[in-house]
Amino acid sequence: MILSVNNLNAGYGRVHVLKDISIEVNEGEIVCLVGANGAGKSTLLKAISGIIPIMQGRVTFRNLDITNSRPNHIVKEGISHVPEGRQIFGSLTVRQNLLLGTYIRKMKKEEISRLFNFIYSLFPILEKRLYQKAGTMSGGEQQMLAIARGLMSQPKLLLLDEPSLGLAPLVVETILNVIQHLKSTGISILLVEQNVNAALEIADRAYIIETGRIITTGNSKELRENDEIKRCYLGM
Amino acid sequence: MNDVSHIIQFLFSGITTGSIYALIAVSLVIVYKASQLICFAQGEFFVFGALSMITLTSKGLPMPIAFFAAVFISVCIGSLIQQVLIKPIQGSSVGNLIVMTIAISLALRGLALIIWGRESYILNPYTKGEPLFVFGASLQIQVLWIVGITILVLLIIWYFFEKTSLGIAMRACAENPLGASLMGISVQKSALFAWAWGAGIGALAGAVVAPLLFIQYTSGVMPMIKGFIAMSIGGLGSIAGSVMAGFLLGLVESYTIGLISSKFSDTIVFALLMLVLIFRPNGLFSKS
Ligand SMILES: Nc1ncnc2c1ncn2[C@@H]1O[C@H](COP(=O)(O)OP(=O)(O)O)[C@@H](O)[C@H]1O
Ligand SMILES: [Mg+2]
Repeated sequence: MILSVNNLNAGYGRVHVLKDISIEVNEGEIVCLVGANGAGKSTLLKAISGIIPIMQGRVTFRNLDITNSRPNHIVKEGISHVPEGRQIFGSLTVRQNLLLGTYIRKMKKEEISRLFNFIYSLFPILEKRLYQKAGTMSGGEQQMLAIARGLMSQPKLLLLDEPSLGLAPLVVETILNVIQHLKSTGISILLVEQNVNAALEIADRAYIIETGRIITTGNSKELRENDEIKRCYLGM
Repeated sequence: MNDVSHIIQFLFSGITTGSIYALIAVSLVIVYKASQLICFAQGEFFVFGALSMITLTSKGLPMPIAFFAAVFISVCIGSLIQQVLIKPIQGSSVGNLIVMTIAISLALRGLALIIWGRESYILNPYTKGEPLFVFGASLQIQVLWIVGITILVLLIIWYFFEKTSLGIAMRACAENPLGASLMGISVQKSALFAWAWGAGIGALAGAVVAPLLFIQYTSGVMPMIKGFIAMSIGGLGSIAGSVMAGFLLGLVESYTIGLISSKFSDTIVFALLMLVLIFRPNGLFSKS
């Protein structure tokens, strides 16, 4: 098991959002987090990556307690969080954005250029855009950049928050393919997706979250056949 | 003196004041970008820079050492203020933060009064030498120091924010704190560095101009206002814009004083600010 979240409670100031959340991600798995808007999916990712404080409960990453660790410590340990809404640096170039992904790691030049080549192999368009200001790119390209920037810290676990939101079907397909490819390189993935159908196609397992609680979990195949899931999330 | 030499004379004095305005405007922009607030204490760093350099040289310290020491003192004061007074209220409203920086400004002014009293001081020029004459206009050697040091500092700032990973990380923090913390960049440290830079540049502006102006504990008010106007004309968050606006203000002031009357120089500067705010609210040099 690479990540384990036990009875986690978290929120914003006095607003209690997450209630006794327990989830696990195994080595090399894609785990999907499904739930309506406002259910607390992004909040859970933020609690794991140290952006918001944890009120109660524990987060363990590769047998290390990272509950309430600072974000820089958590990135260094090998968790990379690609946030909702991309949060790229629009006034910086694509290259500068990518280099910031390596900020907390002291890397040799060769290692960095190897990483850049890896990124180009996933998203060839970024190589063409390298010296362009990130803010001038299309939404799809910005999402690719956000994922690429997250990969620059060489994570063992990638937290992806709605990577396909608002993107054209073709781009969505590219991104889902990349996620699958990343799994084959040994990166574990915790994926939040609105596009539940597609997400369950590529995920091994999923958790369903409703108003801050996990209400169901199971492997993707089971969940796809679950009548309630079909009705609520798959629109059947 | 003929007309040409007058025009050139005004050019020299415009570039001199422009350098000071540009430096103060840049120091305001750096703090503004990192903390989203206008630091009204910037004028006091100007005073501390000038007066501590004067005191240190009067104690027999050589000019270059006194210069770096004066800047360093303000860097320390600025860092301390950020850690002790700004950081604890970072999350509160913009109003609170601005009131805090005004309070800091008044407190530092009071401290300067205690240390240096009400007297005005002036420093000896950095290097001895007769003024040069260019087309009949006289050019003091100190002006060359001011312009040279200003250009050097602006180049260092440019290099830092364009080429070094720490500088780029600070820009990332200013633009998107959430995105930056997810990269493992400490937003707090970035704000601290910005205050250190800001205080240091403000002090440097005071230290370079100290041989040309009589400076006392209240002398920071006008440079702060002019720096703030330059920053607004330049588009609040733009380093390049505020540098250009700083030099522009210096030149406008100098030619107004020279060709019209010193009575109008401030009026024209404020009128320029109003016109820019009405017609180009994103800054005189912005693209949109
Ligand atoms: N910064 C915030 N401050 C206060 N409440 C927030 C904040 N962000 C989200 N919330 C609240 O937390 C709940 C969960 O939000 P979120 O985790 O973003 O949901 P999801 O990602 O599942 O759509 C919502 O009720 C939302 O209103
Ligand atoms: Mg969300």
